[in-house]
Amino acid sequence: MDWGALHTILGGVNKHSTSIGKIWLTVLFIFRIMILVVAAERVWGDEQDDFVCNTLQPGCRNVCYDHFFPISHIRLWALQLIFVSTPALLVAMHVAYRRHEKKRQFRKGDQKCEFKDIEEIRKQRFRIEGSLWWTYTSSIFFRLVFEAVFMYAFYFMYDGFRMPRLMKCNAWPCPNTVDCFVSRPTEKTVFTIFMIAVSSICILLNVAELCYLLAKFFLRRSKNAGNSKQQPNNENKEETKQNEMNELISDSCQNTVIGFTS
Amino acid sequence: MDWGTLQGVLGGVNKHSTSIGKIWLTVLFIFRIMILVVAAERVWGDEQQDFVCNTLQPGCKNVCYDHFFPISHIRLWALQLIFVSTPALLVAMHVAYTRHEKKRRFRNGEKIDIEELKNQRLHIRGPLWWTYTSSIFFRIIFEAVFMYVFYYMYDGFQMPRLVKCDAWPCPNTVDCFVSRPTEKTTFTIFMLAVSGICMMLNLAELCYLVIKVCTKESGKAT
Repeated sequence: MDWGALHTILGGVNKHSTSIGKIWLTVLFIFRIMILVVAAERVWGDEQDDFVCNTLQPGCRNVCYDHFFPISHIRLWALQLIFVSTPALLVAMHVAYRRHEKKRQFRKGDQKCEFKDIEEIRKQRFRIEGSLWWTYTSSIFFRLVFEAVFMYAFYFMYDGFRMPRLMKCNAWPCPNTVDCFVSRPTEKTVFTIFMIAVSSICILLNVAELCYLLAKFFLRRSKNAGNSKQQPNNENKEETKQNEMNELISDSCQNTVIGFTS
Repeated sequence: MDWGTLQGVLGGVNKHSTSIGKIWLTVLFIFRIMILVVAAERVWGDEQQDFVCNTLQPGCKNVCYDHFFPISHIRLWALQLIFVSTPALLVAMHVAYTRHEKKRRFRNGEKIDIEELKNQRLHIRGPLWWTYTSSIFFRIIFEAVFMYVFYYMYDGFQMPRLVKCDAWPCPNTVDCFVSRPTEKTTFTIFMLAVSGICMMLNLAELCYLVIKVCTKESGKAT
């Protein structure tokens, strides 16, 4: 189970996202996870080996490293990325539940069920309406909360986003005060700032998506209030036709956009 | 998520590129990303461990290394490759949006063949031409910016064998020796040359697209 597996899991969720959600997912994978894996992990790779203290006292270096780096940046970012990706699974579970219900209806031979076979139910792309809208919106809300919490934890734990070159340590068993030098501080500062910037972009995308969903909701409500006298059955048949077409076309669109496997 | 996944993502974009665009993508993957992964990363792998300074002063090596190598070549190349690849996604998003619009028109009752829509390769015309051209333009800008950053940060493209360091806590001036300087210089020049080739391919593609539009306009006029 690694980042590739997460990529596969979230790729399936991509089908039911809005356009902003798809952009967010691309930014997450290319500018955060990929940068973490191909670049940042190497920069932090030798962080303890090359953490040097000006003392011969055994144990002093270990204690100072542990004191100044309670949780390494890399691990915090990995946790942040996992927590931020997981609310999308709420949406995936909701969609799976709906499909399960429709399959059950189909199997019972329900007259109301419009699908010709199980294949169509499996490939259907649900529109973000009704209870799915609430699930989707709460997943975005949780994403925002997690991003903000981790950014604050970073800021609080490391007193800002800059990596100092020198740290003065006087934890036992270090004699008096000892100078300790961090490995690659400039490179680490650059990557920290980069990751913070991309986190902020992701937060902005999530806020935009939230506003878009709220606007869509209110527009639909005012439209429904206006059209409340029309027959509801025609709408269902139209939606079925739309879903069939979605299923035929959205696969090719998806492959073009990002190449996630569905 | 690694270079292989990026290849999967960009492979989809390849279908809507011009021939020069396809050549560019091949050069990018084979001569840049692959060289980075299979060769350059090993050359730079021991850069800090084998950076040796002529002093016993603890901390001096760390500080000197950080002073002379604020961002490692490898990381700069990785960032350059990611930034240079991403404008292609603009094109992918535009294509997806165009398909979505056609789908919507189909739903509204217009006669469009669904099969054709699924396999269709969109021609680079109209707004897609603008998106495609701006993606090439951004690629060129990113390439140039990174090449300049390299030049500025490392005072040229040659890796010196010896650097003289007097940052605190080093006592007076200390000689520090870089690991594998000749090999690093070779790879830096190689990567620079391939960046130059990619930039020329992008310029050629830009000229081709501009000429295509101009001839079409003059064709329409006559």
